[in-house]
Amino acid sequence: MAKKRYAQVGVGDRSFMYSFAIAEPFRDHAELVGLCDNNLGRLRTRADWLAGRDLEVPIYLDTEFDRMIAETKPDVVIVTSKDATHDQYICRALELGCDVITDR
Amino acid sequence: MTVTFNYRYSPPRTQIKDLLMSGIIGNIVSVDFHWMLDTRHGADYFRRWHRNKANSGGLLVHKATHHFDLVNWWLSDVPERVYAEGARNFYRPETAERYGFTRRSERCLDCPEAEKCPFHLDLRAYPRLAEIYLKNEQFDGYFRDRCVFSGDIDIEDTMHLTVRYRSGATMSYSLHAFMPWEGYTVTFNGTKGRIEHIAQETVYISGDGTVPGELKPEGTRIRIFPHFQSPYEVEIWKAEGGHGGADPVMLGVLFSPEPTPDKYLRASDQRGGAWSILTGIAGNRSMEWGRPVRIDELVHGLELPDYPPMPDPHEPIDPLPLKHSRAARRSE
Repeated sequence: MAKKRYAQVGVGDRSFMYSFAIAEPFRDHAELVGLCDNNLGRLRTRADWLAGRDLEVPIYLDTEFDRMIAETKPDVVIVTSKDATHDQYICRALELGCDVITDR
Repeated sequence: MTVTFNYRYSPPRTQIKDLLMSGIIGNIVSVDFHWMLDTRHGADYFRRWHRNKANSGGLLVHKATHHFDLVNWWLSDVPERVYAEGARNFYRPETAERYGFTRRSERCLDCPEAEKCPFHLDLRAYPRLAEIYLKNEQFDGYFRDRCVFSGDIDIEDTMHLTVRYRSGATMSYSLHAFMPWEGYTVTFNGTKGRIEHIAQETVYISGDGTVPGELKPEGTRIRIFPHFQSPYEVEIWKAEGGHGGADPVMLGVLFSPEPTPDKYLRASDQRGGAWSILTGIAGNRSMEWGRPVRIDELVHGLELPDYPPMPDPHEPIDPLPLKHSRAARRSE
């Protein structure tokens, strides 16, 4: 079975649990294909952590969310950004044909 | 769409759902629910972006949406009307003055009062926080360690709600963010008795490397008080891992290719998400408007979530259960 493709928007502390779940215990079923945040430094930190597990995941600034979806074609977008930004990412992801998992 | 209400998956909270579904205390007519955030974890919301309502909706939305989701799901019901009172009584400049912190800075990193302040957070002492936040401040100017006494904060730390549900059930709810211990007490009053549940959680600062919200086994209890019979305590379903043992179970449901069917219907979608957040949003409006707020003033035509069936409020009740069970034993 093909791995499900996940993109994640928001890579602050709370988001780590999801990245970890995909990169470690569920890596046979799931794949992280893109990361998005408003902070380039935090994006690099998460990408480096993934690279340490032989996972090359491209990073995108929050202004490049649409481009991330177009280029990485995720099945599911995981929303773990600041609460006040959840609705915009959830709606845009659904519009672009993705399923959504949102931290609440 | 999936909304990750991790709290539902915590074994003791699932156990409560199981007990309520079993009908052991009949149909539920009211709930007393009181949540305490302590001076470590509670304070942490006042350092971070959550400190402003524009970002988080305040704790009634950001935090209590979990609690209100639990109640909706526990009761298999949705809120109809909400009255709220709230204030910021503790995390404000006046408290710093009463502590004698006259030279406080707007962040901990360069605060001259650091040594005296029990709320001082040294980001450098937490490798993960330093890695994620301190090191990346140059990119977005976000400070993870703002002063908990800042005058810029505009969320409440003390909140009380009265909520009426569609079935007619009512709830009395409170949330305090500066308590000496962390956890909650919840009581269900039913037509056949009462369930009292207390849960003490460990304390943590988000991202400090500990497991967040792990339940303390010695501080978690469920007691059942049936009408006309002796009360008793039930053994707690075992909980290990973050957020009351919920995180590992939920991640399995989210990322496993074939999740197993669940009689408690714990997986939530956008309907469960919307109904959970409406209690807090209505609470915010109620504080703003100074009156009770009906959910249908805020939103119309929202579909109901899928919840498991609950005890029938019209089923016959045995008035003398003890006598009848004794008689049954004698005739055996």
